[in-house]
Amino acid sequence: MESATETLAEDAGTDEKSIAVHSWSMSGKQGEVFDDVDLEIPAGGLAIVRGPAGSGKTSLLLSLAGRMRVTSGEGRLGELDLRKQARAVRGRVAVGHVDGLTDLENDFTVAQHVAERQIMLQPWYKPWVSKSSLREVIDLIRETLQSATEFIDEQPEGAFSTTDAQRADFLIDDDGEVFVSELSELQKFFLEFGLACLSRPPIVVIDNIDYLRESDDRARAWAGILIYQQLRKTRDPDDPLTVIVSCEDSGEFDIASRSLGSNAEPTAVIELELPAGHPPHRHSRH
Amino acid sequence: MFSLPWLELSRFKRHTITRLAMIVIAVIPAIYGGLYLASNWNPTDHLDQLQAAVVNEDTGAKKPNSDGESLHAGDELVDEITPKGEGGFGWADVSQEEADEGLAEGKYFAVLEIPSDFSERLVSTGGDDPERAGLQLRTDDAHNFIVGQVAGTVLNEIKSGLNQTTTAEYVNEVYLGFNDIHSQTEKAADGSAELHDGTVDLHDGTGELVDGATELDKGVGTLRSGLIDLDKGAGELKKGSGDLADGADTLAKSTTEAKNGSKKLADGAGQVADGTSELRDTADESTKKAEDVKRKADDVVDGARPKLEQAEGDFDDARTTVRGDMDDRIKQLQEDYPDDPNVKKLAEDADSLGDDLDKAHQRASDAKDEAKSLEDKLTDAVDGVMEKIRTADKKIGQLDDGAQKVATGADDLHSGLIKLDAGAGKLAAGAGDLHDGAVQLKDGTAKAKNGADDLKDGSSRLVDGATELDKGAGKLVDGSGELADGLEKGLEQIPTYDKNDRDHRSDVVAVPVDADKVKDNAVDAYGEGLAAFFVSLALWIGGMITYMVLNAIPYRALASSASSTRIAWAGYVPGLLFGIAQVAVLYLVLTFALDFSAGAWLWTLLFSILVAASFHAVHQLCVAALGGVGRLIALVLLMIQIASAGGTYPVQTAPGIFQIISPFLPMTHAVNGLRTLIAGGDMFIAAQAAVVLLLMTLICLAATVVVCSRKRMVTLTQLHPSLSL
Repeated sequence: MESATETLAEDAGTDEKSIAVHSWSMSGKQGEVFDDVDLEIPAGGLAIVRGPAGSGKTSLLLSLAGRMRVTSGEGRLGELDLRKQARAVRGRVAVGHVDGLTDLENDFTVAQHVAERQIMLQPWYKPWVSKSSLREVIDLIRETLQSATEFIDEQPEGAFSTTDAQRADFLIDDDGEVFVSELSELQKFFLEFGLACLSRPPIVVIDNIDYLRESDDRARAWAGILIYQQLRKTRDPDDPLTVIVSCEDSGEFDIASRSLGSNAEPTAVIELELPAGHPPHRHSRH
Repeated sequence: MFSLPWLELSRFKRHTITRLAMIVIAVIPAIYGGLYLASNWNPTDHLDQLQAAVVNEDTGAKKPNSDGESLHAGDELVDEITPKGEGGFGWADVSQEEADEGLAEGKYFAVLEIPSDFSERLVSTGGDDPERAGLQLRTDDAHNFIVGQVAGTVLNEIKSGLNQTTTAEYVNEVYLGFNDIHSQTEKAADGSAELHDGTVDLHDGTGELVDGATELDKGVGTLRSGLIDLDKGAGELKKGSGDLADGADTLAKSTTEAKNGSKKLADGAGQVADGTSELRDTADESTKKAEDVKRKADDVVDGARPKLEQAEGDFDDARTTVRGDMDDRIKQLQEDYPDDPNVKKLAEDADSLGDDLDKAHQRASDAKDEAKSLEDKLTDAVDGVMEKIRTADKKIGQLDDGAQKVATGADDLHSGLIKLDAGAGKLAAGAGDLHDGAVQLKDGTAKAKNGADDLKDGSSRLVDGATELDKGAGKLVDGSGELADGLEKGLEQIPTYDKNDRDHRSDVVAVPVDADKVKDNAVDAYGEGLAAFFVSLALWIGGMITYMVLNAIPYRALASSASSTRIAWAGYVPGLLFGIAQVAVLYLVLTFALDFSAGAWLWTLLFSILVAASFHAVHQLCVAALGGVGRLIALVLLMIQIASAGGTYPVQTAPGIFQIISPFLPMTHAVNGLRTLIAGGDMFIAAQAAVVLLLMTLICLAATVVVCSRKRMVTLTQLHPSLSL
């Protein structure tokens, strides 16, 4: 264990944006949530945390994002100690989707969501955002989506088409005036992902991608993540995006990965299997 | 433009019901505060619907010091209160029985009784035996306690009104007295100023007096030494004049004797002169005769002998003549002038002449004898004799001249001596007088000397006295100056009053404490006094409602990478905007529906916004930290604050525990500040309250930030909530 820790520390030292945990354990009043997790994700990598419901996927993801405390173990995000410098970690790890935390407001339009997030990222004394700067952000998102579409177009004939990309596009109208309640599940997923990426964080965590009921949507979601990772890498090689996704089944990832081929490949793909050794005590969220 | 409040509010924009909810939030404090204040706005305004009775039994009285003027104070009082509706009551002038009955039945809430000696006692204040006039107001608490309280105030007003008029009359006289004192003191002040001037002059004079007295003293010293010298001189004069008088007497006696002697001398000298004249004549004749003799001798010579014989005869004759007559006369003259050398010489000469004549005769006889032998010798001898005769004649002539001169001189001497004698007499008399005077002078100078000694003592004492007088005059100057200043100052402090002033002051002094009229920062109505409390209460409830509807913190943001401060602020600003809206609506309602007015409008509004801001911060904190439980706590806080904010009665009247917690609760400061601003009092209190509220706001916001920061960390319980409110 000692030597592993040292190795871990050295590896972490070499890459500022890599994330690594060792003997990462969490237990609550009703027993262990997860136990003795070792995980190391290089910058630009994709980690898939897979496990059945109640296996502690959400807690693990939130603990990696600096938003939940673990009981024991060591963890680092680059130079930061995950346990001791949670505040700084929260600034670098965005949460793409966690049920109950990132829920969208049905009575907000897309633009209002973007504006809200935009304002939140500004200092406290600037509680507004002008329409023009909001428009700039929306244009940037649109451009990204456009690039994604172009990327798909470039791919050899496969599982994905431009239509798929359009289905994922949450910017239905020019000004984002459409209400969230009118969006599809996939569009909401991408809206949440987009909002998380608005601060250009090095790491994004996405919990339970399985909440997308349609298998095709899940595949499109995976593809979207990979394409966005690729776009970030292309545009800004020094600031790659690391994504940590949890799911019960990663079958759709394989489809997406295969379809996109080597054109949209993360630096590394780490798969972590969480054992379902704990009695599920949570109420069903659905 | 997108802003957080706008985004928060836009949640409610989509549906009509949620839009209404926003309006409700803004309006609820206005409804609450407005309704409560409306019901309590001005209860005393409707007291005129209550009836009160006045029973007047006053018989009136004559005013003292007036020509039969009489006072009917009871009637005046009734006239005054009946139409005016004193204290808000409707007054009815009724009999005692009616009043008693009415009070018992509840028809009248109060009965004012004016006793029969009311006027009499009122005018007694100006007389020798002053007595208080009594009024009685009866109420019946069985009907209404509060009305009884109000009635008490009415009685006080009536009482003080009456006291004012009676006391004013009296005090007016006192103020007139002040005017007299003032004018008299003014005269005294003028007099003392003149006195002061006079004493200054006096002081100058005494200064000069001291100088003069000193010089006088010196002069007296000189005078005294001079007088001593004078006295000495007078003593010498006395002695000298005594000697002079003696001398003069002796002189006078001597001159008398000399005068008498000179008379004899003059007589004698006259006689001598006569004698010498005769002698001269005789000598002349002798000479002639000698001539004749000579001639005869010559003749004798010539005639020789005969002639010598004759000559002998002649010489005999001559010798007889000379020896006879002349010798007697010379003897006489010698007797008269024994000391005179001429006389002596004359005598000697005459004697020798006689001798010569004798000898001549002898010789002639001899000659005759000899002539015969010596004729020639005779002639020569005759010639020698002749020569001697002639010389004698000449000398006799000279003697006569001298005797004449002597006679003349003796006469002159005599007449001179007469004058001298008279002068010496006068001199003696004068010297006597002089002596007498000198004696008197001596007495006088002795006395003067003694007097000068006394004078010296006196002048020395005068110098001492004058010096002391000068010192005293100096003190007198100081003293009179102080007196003048003091009187001047005193005069300033003695007030004077003209008629208006006197009347005004009499009124003031008659009722020095204007208990019924002076009310600091008066509010127009009872409700306006309560407004501070109800506005605070309404805003608290507004805050509760606001965060019942709004999210205390934007929960979505917790998952984002935004800072906690940002998130807390994002939850607070929409609430604050609602608070401002609540304040605006509330004051609109109060102003237009209840005729409310604040002393300092702008500050009242700003302060109310601060109140809303602090209350909303408290509610945000409660809800953010504890959710539904936080809302319960806000409700509990409301109840505690109602009891301890001192909104209706001062908090000092509440039990101790409320007084202790009072300063820690925001509503206390909200009420204090608002009350000051609405009534318009000491702005320091309002500023103090504002600072406290601002601090509370900041503390709550900071606490909310901490809460947000802690909320960022998800717990298992949060992921799996067991209780949802």
